[in-house]
Amino acid sequence: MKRHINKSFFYILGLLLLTGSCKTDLLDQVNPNALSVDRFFKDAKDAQLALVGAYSPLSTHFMWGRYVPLVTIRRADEYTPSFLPGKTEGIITKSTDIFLPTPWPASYKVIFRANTILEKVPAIEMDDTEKNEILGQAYFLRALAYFYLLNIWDNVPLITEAAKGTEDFFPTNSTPDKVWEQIISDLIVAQQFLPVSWSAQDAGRATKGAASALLGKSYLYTKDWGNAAIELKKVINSNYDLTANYADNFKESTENNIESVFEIQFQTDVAFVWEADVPGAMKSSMFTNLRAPIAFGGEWVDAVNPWVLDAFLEEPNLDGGIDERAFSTLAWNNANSKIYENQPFQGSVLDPTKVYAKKYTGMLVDGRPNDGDLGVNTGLNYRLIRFADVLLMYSEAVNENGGPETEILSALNRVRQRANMANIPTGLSKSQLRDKIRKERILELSLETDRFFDLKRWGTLVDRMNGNADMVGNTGATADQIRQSGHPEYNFPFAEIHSRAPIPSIEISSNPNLNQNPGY
Amino acid sequence: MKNLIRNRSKSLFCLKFNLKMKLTTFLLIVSMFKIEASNYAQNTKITLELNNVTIEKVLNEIELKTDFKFFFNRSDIDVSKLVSVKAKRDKVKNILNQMFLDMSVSFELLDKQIIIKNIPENNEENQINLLIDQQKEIKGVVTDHNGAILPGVEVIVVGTNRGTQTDFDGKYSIKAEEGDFLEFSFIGMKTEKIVVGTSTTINVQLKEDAASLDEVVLIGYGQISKKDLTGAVASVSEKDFKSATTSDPTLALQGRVAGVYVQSNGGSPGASVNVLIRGAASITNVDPLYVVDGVFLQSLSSINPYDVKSIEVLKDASAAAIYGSRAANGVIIVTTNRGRQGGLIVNAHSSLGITTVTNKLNLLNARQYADVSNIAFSTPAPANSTAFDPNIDTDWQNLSLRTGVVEDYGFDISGGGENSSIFFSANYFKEKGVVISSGFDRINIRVNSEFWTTNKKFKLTQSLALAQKNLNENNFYGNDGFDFPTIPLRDDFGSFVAPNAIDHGVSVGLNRYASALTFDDKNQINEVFGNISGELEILPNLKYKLNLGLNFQSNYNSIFVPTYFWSVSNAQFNQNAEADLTEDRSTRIDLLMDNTITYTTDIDKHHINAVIGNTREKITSRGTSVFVSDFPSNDIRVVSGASSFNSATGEEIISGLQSWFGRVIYDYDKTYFLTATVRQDESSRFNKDFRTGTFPSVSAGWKISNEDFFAENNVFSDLKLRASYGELGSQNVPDFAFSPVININSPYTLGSNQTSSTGFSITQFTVPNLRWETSKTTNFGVDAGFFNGKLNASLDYYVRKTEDILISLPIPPSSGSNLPITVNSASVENKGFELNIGYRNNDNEDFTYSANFNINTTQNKVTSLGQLGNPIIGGIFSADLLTSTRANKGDQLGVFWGYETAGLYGSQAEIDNDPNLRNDTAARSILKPGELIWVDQNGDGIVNDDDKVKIGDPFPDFDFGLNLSASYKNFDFSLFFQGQVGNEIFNARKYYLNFEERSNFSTDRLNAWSSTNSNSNIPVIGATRVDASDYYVENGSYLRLKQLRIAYNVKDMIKGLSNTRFFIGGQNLLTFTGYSGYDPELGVSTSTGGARLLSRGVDNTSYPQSIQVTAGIQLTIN
Repeated sequence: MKRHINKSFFYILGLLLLTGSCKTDLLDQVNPNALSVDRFFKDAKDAQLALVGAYSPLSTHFMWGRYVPLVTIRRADEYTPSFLPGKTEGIITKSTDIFLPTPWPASYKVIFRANTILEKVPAIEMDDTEKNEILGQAYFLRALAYFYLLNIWDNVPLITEAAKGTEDFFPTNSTPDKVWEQIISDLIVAQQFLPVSWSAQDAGRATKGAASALLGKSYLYTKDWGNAAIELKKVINSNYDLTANYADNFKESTENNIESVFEIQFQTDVAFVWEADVPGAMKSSMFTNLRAPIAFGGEWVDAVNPWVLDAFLEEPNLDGGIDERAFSTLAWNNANSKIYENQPFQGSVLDPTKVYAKKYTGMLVDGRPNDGDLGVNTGLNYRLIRFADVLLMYSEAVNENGGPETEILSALNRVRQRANMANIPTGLSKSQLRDKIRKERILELSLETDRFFDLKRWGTLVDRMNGNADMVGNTGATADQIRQSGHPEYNFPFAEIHSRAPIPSIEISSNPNLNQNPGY
Repeated sequence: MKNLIRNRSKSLFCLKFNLKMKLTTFLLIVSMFKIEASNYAQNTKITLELNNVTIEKVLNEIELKTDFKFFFNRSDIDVSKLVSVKAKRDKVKNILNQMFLDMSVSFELLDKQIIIKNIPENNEENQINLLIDQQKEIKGVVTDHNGAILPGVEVIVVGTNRGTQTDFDGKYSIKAEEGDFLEFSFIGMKTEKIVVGTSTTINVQLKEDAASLDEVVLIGYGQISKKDLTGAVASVSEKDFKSATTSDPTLALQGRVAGVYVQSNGGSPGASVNVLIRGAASITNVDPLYVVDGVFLQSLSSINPYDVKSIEVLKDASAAAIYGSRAANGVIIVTTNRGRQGGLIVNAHSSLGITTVTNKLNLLNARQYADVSNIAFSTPAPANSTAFDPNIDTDWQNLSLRTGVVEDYGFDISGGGENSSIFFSANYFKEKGVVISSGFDRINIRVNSEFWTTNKKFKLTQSLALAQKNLNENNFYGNDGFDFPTIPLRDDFGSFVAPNAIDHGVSVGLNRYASALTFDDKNQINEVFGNISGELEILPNLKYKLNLGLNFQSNYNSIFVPTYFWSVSNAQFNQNAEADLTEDRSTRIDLLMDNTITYTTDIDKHHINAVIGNTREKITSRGTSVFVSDFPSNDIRVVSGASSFNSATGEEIISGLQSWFGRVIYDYDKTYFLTATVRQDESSRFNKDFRTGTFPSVSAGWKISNEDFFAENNVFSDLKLRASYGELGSQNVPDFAFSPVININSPYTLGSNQTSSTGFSITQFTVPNLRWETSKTTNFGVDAGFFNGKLNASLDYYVRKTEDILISLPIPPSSGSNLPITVNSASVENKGFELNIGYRNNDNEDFTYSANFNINTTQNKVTSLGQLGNPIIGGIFSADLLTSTRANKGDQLGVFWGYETAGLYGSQAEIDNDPNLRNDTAARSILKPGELIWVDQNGDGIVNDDDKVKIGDPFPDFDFGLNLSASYKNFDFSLFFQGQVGNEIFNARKYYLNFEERSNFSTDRLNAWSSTNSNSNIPVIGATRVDASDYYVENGSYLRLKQLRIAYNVKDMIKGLSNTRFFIGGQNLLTFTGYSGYDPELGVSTSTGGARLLSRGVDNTSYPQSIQVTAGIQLTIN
């Protein structure tokens, strides 16, 4: 009997062991949804894929797809926020604003991915030229991301190595000087590594000219006039030129043209889900809706402040007509002003008393089918650095550096000549030239991205934004009136603290080492 | 010869007993009971010292102290004779022998019944013949209180050795003579004694007697007599959940078990139910493990409440230890009904209920709204005289609410034969919500069967359940406030409209009512779950059991948004130019295999029950989601109709768990108890080096009332002390959370052709050394019974420390990822008392009553914040992400966090001179009179985030439940009160109703502070200080009459209808609270994980609780 017990007991025990023996099959599960990091960064192909990954955030609506234009343009004097606005309009005063954070994580994604490339790619055995081009683009992208982070927020953490563990997640604020140093040194390397141009199938990648232009711009912003002039001159001496037609800079059919130094690439109607940073749903240009009239799918009931139009009307062109750039920049009640599908401005559709934006509203996008949403979702590339801007920055840098006048004027007048405007004469003082250059930036570059940064770096932002009656938006109220209307979002005078945005609360609340920008 | 007869009749009796009794569905219980009984007779010792008392008194004393019952015929035995008895820890047999020393009697032991018989002095055979001649055949049927026949009832003629059992049809037949007593006894029923008269038919109905016998509770891979429990286990029986019409049986636990906090997620139909066992231990996952007939489920929402036989809640670590890593938040074990031998029994029920909201909010009408917003937004006015149409006054709240209807129909049928039994049930539950466009329905089908060999060495048990759940949600109602009353219901063309500046003076705001009616939101879950288990008795005390479980779930969700145009404003919400469809489908298969060996043995007074086993579980799920748009018509709502395919995603998840476990339950003489358990788990969710977790536990009990020194008294009948310590693990992390991956979807457009180039990136950071979360629980408990078990009380004190809590935490986006990462972090300590008191009086058959009261306190504290070290912020309460709670070291988990207020500023001078703002010129220039004064806690003269403090917490000082029930003749009646005291609620509704310009305001706004109404404590219209502060915090205490029920039972109303029960009941009928929001019983919104727990007590609830009145009928046919 006893033996019998033992036998069956061990028989069952054996059965138990048997069922438990195939445990490794059960426990060693491999993620079927994604590639393991361990198997990546092995060859040139991997490096190229990672590089595209680093470009990827640029065209999401978290960055140039929507929110970088939004948080820059909306804070300048070109628009006045409409009354009872959505949370994004005007000056953002709260770190919890749900739209504000979006360029922050997206920029740091670019930085993290560039950092990873800069760490991993040097060890890959591959063609040196290709390797350098990859590294050059990574340096450029890191500098580009920092450039906008810095100019929107000022006191940002400077991260130049990919986080290795949880202890690396909590950086402190850096100083603007340190970040500028990094941007400049990255661009110097990028400039060496990048090719002058890319073949047609690689159009859109950063070039040597793009690095030099951004480097020159960085020197300009840090008031290093001499170096700014040197770098911008390199671009001028390179293979760029102005397009014959100013309007070609804002059309889909003339993307990546000779004037384009760096542009963010967009396609029409790619998959898009609001606020979703999910695979397959992150690429679209939703910047047109920000500025388009509501009758055409625009969202924000915005009109451009009339002083922008007035600036164009001040000085006729050489034929006695209106500066042709006005017709590419604005739409207003004028016989020659064309809106969508090249239709004349119609008072019945648009308010004849108001001035509307035309650049980046989809109006200049030729050949679009009319499906009722002309102001929505174009595939228009965003020209981030135009050769015209390079010329104007160059003339500014040389002027601030004390000349020579011929250099200032040749660059400035080259821009004006394309627009059929009279040359700026010689013999003006430095300060008169400064005014001319600044005015030219309005005429040439209005409603692009840099107006807010320009006002900020010139130190005129607070004065400009306070108490100026020429900023009257579509409601008839001035920006000041709106800000002091009692509406919680706008109940403040524009102060120096508003020249930098509050650091997003999602960063502040998860990172105890980081200080909020003062005043917020 | 005497011996021969006796032996033979006894063996016959035993044979019958074995054949039939064991065939009942209570097989295990009975066999356990039997083992116990035989030991009992041999081993039970008592102490007695009685002088000059009657024999009857001595016998009564012995009955009191033991489980023995004496039977005798008064004409045979002179029990009035005076005797003296002295015994110290002596066997009953010896005491009896001593007492009846000079009388010629014999004793016979039948189970725990001792029959005392006179030994005739004459020729025995003649005497017996004589007896037989006077006997007649008595026949009858034994049924239970519902009229269901009872097979296996013991029937004995008192004072004789004659006994029988009822057969499968509940019939018996026995010989007895007039004046004999027949005794009918059955487990769980009150024993009946009936005197034999002239009739030869005696039909008996046995009454339930829950207090009398050993209640057996399930403890996971086994069961135990409730008397022998050493862990903290609570059980709720079927009566409790059949008395309420609820969709989820979990709700029946609400307020009935101390330490178990059940909360329905708002009043929404089909809303999920949150169960917190002993407070909030973990941060991310607080759900207990649900085990239904041996199968693990994620909730009980697919279970038909009418199928449930009992629910056991394993609260402490020692009780739950056998489930190891699965059981960190406690275990809820559900047993469903099974068939039993005898003829078919059919139960059917039908009920209909009406629901209505408990409370409505006071909102502004159009005129009031226009006035208030004109003040709030002065230039230019949003609802000014030109834009405001006085003829429009739409009450969106009333439009969105309606009378809900709850319907519940079902039946079950059960029966069994000699080798099998079956239970089949079907149920349909439907609820039309009190909010438009919300509803839930469910179909349940269940088949449970059992098969066994005639020698009972092998038994096969099967359960299979099918459920289909359809859920329609209104995700718009009141989510972030209410629509403006100045918007018309429909425009001149019959179309909905949303606010726009031209017609309504406002360019923000939504039409949530229109959205709810327009969005076509469907959610369907189909489930198949069940188990099959085989049990083989290798030796009488050694059993092997194989259990295979399956839980198959298929989920289908779709949201179709047709084209619509309501307004030019807020185009993102108020117009949809192209119809779009989001459709998700996923399947989840959970396979389980358990092998267990159980060994039981009794060596003298040592009782041992040991189980070892292993279990393997594999969960596979795979899903696809597509987002498509641009349909040719709003009537085409399938993916193939779309011309634009926006996105398609898919995911597959596989996880495995492999465990070994062992448990020994030991007791000595039913007085000293010890249970030791160990379980080792290996999970695929951790890296190889961290995947194994070992979780031991031990518990001990001492039944003091079994000790000799336990003084004889009329008050105390039972006293037991318990203590336990145990560790449990949690693997509550996403699959593959430890392994870093490349995201293959980071494309960029390149080339003059403008095409997408594939890009790879790392988007999710991981922590490779993730390890098990562990909770360590110490529990002390006392169980006491009074007045012979009429009054029972149990008190538990516990301390639970949860370490290395697995949390998914946000990391700074500057890292390069804004996706949260899962880390081992933070520790939380919960400690508390639980008290259960129950009183039951069945003395009077016509009038029985019972009362159950439980009360629970939990103290909760975050003891460390671990790896990332930062306070965890949660409780988002506004569209722009203002937060209201945080987990701080030293505080409770998820306290309300905000500014302390000190009234309102009465004038500009008060603002200018406020020391709180002495260094804050910006604030001074912005603030205006009538705004909240925020206190500068750190004294730096600036009020900012650093000045936020704890302003309340959602944890009650205690919560309680009181259940009163009574029955009088055909009526029964129950009342259930529930409440909590000392908790606060963060009334986020105040934000939407007072400050949010995108929605209508509360009537409070009419009384807001103004220079002419400076006594008001309601902030001025247009106030800027809207961030979290104690202005939002309110007392959340309440007392609620949760349930009331009156029922009337009729027996044999129609032939064949053995029992008919009519009932009428109500839920949430009365509520006493000072809380100003919808309802103090909050749901926790739809957020999940940490966000869910850190939202506790934050009233973002969008769906109101409802009052429900239900009437119905239950029928039993057999």
